[in-house]
Amino acid sequence: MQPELKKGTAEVLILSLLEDRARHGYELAKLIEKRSRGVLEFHVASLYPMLYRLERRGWIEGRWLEKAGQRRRRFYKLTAAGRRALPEQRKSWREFIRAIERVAQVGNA
Amino acid sequence: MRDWKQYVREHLPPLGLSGAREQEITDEIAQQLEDAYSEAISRGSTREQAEAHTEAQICDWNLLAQEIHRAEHPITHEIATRAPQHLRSAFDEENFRKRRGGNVFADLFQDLRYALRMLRKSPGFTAIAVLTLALGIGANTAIFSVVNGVLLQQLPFPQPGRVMILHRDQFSSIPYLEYLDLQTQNQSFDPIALSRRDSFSLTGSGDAERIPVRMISADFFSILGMQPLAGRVIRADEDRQGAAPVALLSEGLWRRKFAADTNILGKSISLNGRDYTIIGIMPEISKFFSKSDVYLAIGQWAQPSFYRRGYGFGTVGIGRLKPGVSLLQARADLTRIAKNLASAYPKEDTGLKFSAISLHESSVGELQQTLLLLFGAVGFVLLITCVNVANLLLARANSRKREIAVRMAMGASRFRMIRQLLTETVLLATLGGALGLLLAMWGTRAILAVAPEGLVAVGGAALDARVLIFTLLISMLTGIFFGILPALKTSRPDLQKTLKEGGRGSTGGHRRVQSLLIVSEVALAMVLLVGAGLMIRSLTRVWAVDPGFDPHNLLTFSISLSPTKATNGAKAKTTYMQLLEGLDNLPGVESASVNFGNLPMTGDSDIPFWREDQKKPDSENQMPDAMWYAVSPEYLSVMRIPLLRGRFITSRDVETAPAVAVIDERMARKLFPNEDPLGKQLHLTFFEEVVQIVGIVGDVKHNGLAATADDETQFQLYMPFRQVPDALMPILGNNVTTVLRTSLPPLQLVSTVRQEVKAVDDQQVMYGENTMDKILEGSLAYRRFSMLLMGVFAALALLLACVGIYGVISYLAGQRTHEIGIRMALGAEPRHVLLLVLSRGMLLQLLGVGAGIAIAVPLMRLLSSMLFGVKPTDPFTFAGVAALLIVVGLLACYVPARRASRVDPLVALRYE
Repeated sequence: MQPELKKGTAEVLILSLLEDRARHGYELAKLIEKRSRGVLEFHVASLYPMLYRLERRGWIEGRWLEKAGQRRRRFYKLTAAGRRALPEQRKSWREFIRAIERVAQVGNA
Repeated sequence: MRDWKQYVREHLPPLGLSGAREQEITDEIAQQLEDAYSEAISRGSTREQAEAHTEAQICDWNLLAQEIHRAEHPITHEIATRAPQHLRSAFDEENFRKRRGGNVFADLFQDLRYALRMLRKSPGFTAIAVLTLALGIGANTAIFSVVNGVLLQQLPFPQPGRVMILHRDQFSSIPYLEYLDLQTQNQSFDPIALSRRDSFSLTGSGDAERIPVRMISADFFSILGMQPLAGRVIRADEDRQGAAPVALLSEGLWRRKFAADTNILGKSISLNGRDYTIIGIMPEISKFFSKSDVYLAIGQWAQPSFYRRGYGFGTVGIGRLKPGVSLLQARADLTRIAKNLASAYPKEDTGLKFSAISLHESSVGELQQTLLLLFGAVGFVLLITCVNVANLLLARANSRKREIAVRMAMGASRFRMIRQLLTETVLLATLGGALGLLLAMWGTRAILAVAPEGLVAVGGAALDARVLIFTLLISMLTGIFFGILPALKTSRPDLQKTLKEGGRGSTGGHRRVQSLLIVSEVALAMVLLVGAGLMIRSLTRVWAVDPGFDPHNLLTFSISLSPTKATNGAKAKTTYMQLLEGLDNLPGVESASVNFGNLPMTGDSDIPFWREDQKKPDSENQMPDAMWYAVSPEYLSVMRIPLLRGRFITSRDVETAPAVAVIDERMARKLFPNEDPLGKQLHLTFFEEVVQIVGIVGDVKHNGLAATADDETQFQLYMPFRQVPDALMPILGNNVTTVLRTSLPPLQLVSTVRQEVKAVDDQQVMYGENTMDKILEGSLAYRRFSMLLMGVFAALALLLACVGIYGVISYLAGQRTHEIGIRMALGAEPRHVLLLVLSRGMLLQLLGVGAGIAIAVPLMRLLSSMLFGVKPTDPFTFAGVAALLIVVGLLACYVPARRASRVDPLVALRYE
């Protein structure tokens, strides 16, 4: 198992949230917090470096947009490469969950 | 609402990205914070709560920067953590160069911003460092502004460096006839002029008063290259006997006495009873010559002995070097002329020498040495300041280790880190410099307040662009100087260890450097203290010297007789006798005397003589000289000079009585080693008189209390003023000092004395009132000035050294808290700990004192010409200063040592 995998899980969350539409950083943080019912919490210190890393990798793309009545924000959307990478990411995430479950079940028995 | 962008800019460490990218990231994170803040507000938080909530979003800015950097530079980061050092720096160098294109200023700006934030984060450190630097830089700026005003001033005329002052021998006058010879025979100056100071009574223009006058030959102003403000200068045909009397006014007198009347040219003024036609107005020259209110043609002076070869009347030559002629060539030329004259006029000019120094040197003279000494001393203060701040930085470096390590792990090169750290120190120094400039403005004023008059006259202090540049420059240099060592040490942390230990790295290296700095600081303070100590001892020695008379309760002033009396010898003498009688009867006056020669410490004029019972020397140059005093009988009791043998001048020594003289004890001893001087006769060439010695009195320190052995060879000769030949009265009677012994504070008597002087003749002018105590003080002004400033600098040095020692010992003791805790847990008693810390401090002190002695011994020799009665290696001063430093150092160590000894072992151990 890659040691990087845990970081990959965080990435998969972001990629998934961007799958249907573009969002900005604060929105992403709030959504993750909300949908996980507060279990997952993203700090600025980890969220933005991760966004920048994904952008460098070419999976997401940030653009400054100004919506009517709002301030200029940087919106991230999934690129074609990101869209291609997402299923692979989901797969490795599911494997990870399963592995954890197996280990936990052995531990319980 | 708060400006969150600003907040992010202030907190996010430089990322090492392009300016635009950094801007983008800053904006985005600021946006996030803004959102968080707005949300908190909309949930009903107060502003404070919302701000706290928002700030809590990012608790570790370094970590954030590190992560962003990692995200943005995936490959660089890999190298930063895994690759060996040389690859890492190469890679970073590369990065640096890539970014360098148009971004040097952006980088600098970033560094500055970061530096500002770091300084704001530790206000205590910043305040102490800035204050320390301000003291050091301020003191330097203050002294520099005086050096600037005096030594670096440009004289206000073309090529001032080519203007030379000429003297006979070192400082003697050039007689008029020799001046004429110089003018015709020299090949190096074009032209040469002659000038002498005098003072004349100005009458007929308001109240009669005595004004300073300068007699000049026609070329005087053309040498200086100065033009009259109005009118013209003196022409050559006016610079001779019998020409129509003309005068130039100084701008000051023209404004003061004549209300800047533009129609004054062609009118006349009355000086010593003679009318002179005003032909021009001249700008002031008081910056490089003593102040004069009127200029007259020297060639018109109707004083017969002025035209005698070999007699000086306070004249100096002034010449402008011809183009291409060096000072050395000019001096050789002068030597050649002197030889010619010596063979042409062996009687007067045997052994004749001329000297030439630049006008600047002659006007600055004594000051140069004093100022350079003080400049050196204040430089030492700055060095101590640097050492102190470097120490502070080193102590702080430890707490910044983690930050530095993180930034270097992010790929910042060592060069980049050193640059960042130096930016911080230069910023500190610049802040210190700015505050120092304020201190200097105040300090300069304080310096001028205690400065000798001579210093103020030649320029005082000038706080101009040059001073500002100086301050800026030394601030920058200081910043680099005290910053470089700590920067080098700080930027070489053991990355892994530091990161692992969370910032509590080992500090062995720092400790050694800090100890070394303390030793050098103590050594520097030692040098300054020894310098100040020697000067203080010199001054007390000088004060203890017996001047040979009693200077307390003596009032002196000069009198200028009315023009009709001044030119008639017999009348002049009668007037003085009348005056003395009147003064004697004034309440508060014990006795009064006149003196036609010079008062002690106010000037000198020598006359050559030979013993009547010995062969007359071939020329006057080979005759001994004596300082002469033509006085009234009361002079001895007024001055309280002791009579050793024979008698002093009495009221019976009148014009018709045999000519007598009284000599001082030194003259008696040297001139008549195995004989009785009483009854011997001396031939005084100046008076063309033979006088008989009738008494011997005590020596007077004529040239000041600190007169050196050279000056003391001067003989002193007293003669009754009534026996001065009438023919000489018009010139001697022009410079008469009156001395009063008073029973009241002397200056209280000035107005009644003035009335008495007027009562005798209302055309008489009384001027130059002073007390002998003040004159004595004035003769020590430079010595006092240097001592005072040296004392202040030394005190500053002591204070700074003290703060430095205290700081370092506290820090070192703090670093050893754990060790001390263990020791105490194992049974060490507080006093052992106290001794442990104290002994460490004492060791450094002793090393510093030793080093200080080693530096001071050779350095103090430079001071020897300014010392009096103490050797530059005076053991008392050295021992006293060493003791002072050790005691003060002990106190500085005691506080931290005591604190260390009170450490609770439990608390100390829990720290780790």
